[in-house]
Amino acid sequence: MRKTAVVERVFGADIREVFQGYWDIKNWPRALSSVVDACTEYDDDTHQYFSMIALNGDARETISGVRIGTPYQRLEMCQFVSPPGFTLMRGEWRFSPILESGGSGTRVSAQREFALSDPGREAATSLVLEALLARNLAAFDAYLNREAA
Amino acid sequence: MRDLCITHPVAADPASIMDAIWSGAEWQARWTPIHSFAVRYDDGLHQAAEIVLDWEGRQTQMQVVRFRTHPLRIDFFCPRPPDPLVHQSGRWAVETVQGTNVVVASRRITLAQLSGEEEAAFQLRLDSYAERLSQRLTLILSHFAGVSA
Repeated sequence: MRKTAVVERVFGADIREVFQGYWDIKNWPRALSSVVDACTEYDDDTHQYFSMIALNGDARETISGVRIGTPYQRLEMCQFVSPPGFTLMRGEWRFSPILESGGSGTRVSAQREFALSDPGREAATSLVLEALLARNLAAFDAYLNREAA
Repeated sequence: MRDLCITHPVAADPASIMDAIWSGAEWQARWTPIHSFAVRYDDGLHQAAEIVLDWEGRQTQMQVVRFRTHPLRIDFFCPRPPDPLVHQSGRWAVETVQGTNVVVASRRITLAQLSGEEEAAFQLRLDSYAERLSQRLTLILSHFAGVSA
């Protein structure tokens, strides 16, 4: 059975910077300490075929998949090799400008759809994924703030 | 870069034609130049595959990522395009043109320019390649357009 985890955060940066920050795969190791390396094997500005190496505890995990970008709106992601214990991992980031009171911030919603080989772990995994997504959003927000400073 | 668009009248149910084009097994069964069509990932909306095929008597390999963006439309790009291309992306779709259903194959291709090759010679080679690819696409469409429901 497929489950979904969603987390949202308001970023201080402008929507263009936030979208580009996520789209440029080279930013991933800079923003997230768990990502050791990342590269794109194909990028035509709409489709991106990527691979990255991430630390999961002591283990190094190779992640590869595709991202589809709708500039300044949405970035869809599908992992071709699911993390251990998962049978499906895909999701998206949605970006919307914060227009209230003349601000230039960006609301980012990170969503993951997943399926597990052991469905009994769905509820616990949802919580873990939400915590991970929240941590990653905060790390990207901090990274983009550092870059802007 | 060159854009191609080939159409062919549809004699079968549009959804079954698109299902057949999505299926690696159908490609192997219906199009003899395909030696193998190995699907590495398929969640119904995204698909990654490695294909070995014959192009004018020579065996070549390609890697393709496809998206079922609509029940009657498949977009794709090639992280590794078939030799001698350096870029290939495109679309398969069934569309209605003047009240008639047609299956459409559109392609954006870039040919590798040879070292020292004059621009005029390169353009001639590109024209020739595009013509031969168009003929091949017409044949492919004729094979799939008659798929019965």
